[in-house]
Amino acid sequence: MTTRSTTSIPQSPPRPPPVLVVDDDVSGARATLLSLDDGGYATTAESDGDAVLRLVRREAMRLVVSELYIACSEGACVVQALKADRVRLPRLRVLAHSRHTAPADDAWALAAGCDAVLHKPAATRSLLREVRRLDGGERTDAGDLADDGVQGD
Amino acid sequence: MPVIWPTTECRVTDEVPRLPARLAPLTLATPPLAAVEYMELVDGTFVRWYVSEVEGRAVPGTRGSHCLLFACDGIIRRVWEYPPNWRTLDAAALTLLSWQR
Repeated sequence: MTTRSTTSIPQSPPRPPPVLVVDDDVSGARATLLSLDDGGYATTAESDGDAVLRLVRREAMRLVVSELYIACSEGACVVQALKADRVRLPRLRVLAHSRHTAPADDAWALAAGCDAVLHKPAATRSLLREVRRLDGGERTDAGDLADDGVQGD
Repeated sequence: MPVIWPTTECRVTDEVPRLPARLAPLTLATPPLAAVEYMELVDGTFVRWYVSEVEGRAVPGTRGSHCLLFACDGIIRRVWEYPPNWRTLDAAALTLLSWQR
């Protein structure tokens, strides 16, 4: 009699969807992508508003880092269109990472539904900290909290 | 439980904070983000944050009738889930709260 042992192949956890960087400025997008890459995030980039809508809905993306004032066919602001789509994108979080830093720009970002705003230029550490917060804190490390003056045990 | 550095402070301010001015001009066709109350706090790294509770019903993707905004120089965090007694929290607890979403 022979016995067969079955060895289950360990499955790696499903990879989270990439972070989508939306920027109409090539150098700005590149800097953001490099920073997120430093933080271990898979990324993809897009600059066209309608392409952003299609991509985020198709891939069920959960985190978008976006410049402001990117128009799309559904409105003057692709962020507003994304955040308003609660049926298809109930868990989408958007960080406005913008070179537009006037008070009116902040107001625009908040009124559009952004979950956070970070002005450019920002240190890689600051960008990653805000992304981790919106990412659910799963990758939050002690350094993130220490940056805010909170020290873990 | 996290330990908070003992350098935090928190107070209700009677000064005009930066945040209201930042929120004043709206350019989207939504009602104004009417601020209900403001506080300021200094976190453990001496960064001054302005905390405000604003109406949230008209915000795309709204998750509640109100939300908190934590604002410091160059950063604004929106928090939808927060306790009703947030006004009574000390600066350390508010700093942790700013990590909620």
